[in-house]
Amino acid sequence: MQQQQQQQTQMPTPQFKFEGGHLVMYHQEATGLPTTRDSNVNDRDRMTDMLSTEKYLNSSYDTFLNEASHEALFQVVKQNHTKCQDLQRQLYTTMFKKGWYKLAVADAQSVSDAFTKATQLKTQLPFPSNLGQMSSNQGTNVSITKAMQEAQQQMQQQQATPQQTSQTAQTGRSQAQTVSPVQSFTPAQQQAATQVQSAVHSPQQNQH
Amino acid sequence: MSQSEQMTPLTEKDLSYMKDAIHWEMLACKKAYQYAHQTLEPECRQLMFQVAEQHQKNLEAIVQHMGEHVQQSVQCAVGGAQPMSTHQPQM
Repeated sequence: MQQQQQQQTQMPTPQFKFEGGHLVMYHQEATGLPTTRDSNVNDRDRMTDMLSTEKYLNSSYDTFLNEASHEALFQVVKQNHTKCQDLQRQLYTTMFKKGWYKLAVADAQSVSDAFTKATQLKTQLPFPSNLGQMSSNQGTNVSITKAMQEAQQQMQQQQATPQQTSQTAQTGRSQAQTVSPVQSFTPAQQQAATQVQSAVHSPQQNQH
Repeated sequence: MSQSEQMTPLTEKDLSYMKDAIHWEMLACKKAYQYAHQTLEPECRQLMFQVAEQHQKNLEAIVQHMGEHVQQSVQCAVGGAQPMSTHQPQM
């Protein structure tokens, strides 16, 4: 059984070539597309049907895994899911090799455009880039602990100075009130405004 | 498998999904086996047989897991815990 599994995993990676903007096998085998065109089910139809059956099984198993509660059952289903994914891949590779699949190649310009946009998006990521340290988990752990320390420091700072921050917010508000009304209002309104200001200021003075 | 995992019971949801999965695998296995006999191209034919065999293995894995739960419930019954079906209040 192990030998079989090894054979399955050691499928030769297909060699590609571009043909009229399409990705096709380099050595497309002689069989190619079925020559007879009639209503009978041919080899290609059978392979296509089996491929879609595997796709259906894969999505069904995915739901099963999401819903499963029992741990041992989860492991069994996970293994079955992986096996089905392998089968789907094998069916696809075989069909591609026979030339039963032709895929359009992406335009080089649009690839580089997408890459530029993705690179710009990366500035929003919270952690420093881990490229090059992907194989070692230590790199990510370090950045996570660093982020946690920073978050804790921020929390402590907020806890240490809650009064200061609220006071600055209040003074900021009262300054805004003094600046805007005085310029445009009549003297009587100015008086009223100053009264309101003193009323606003008074609780602060009491605090001091 | 540890003792605590063995004692975890199967939920209704788990069971109904397992029944479904057995049906999926059975259909896929039968289909691949029939297609294998109909397919002319040798490589595809061999792959179809492989697919059928793998689906049979998958089905057997699920049934085997189900069997472990049946044994477990028997052990529970012997140990004193009553299965749900026989648990009825006596008036």
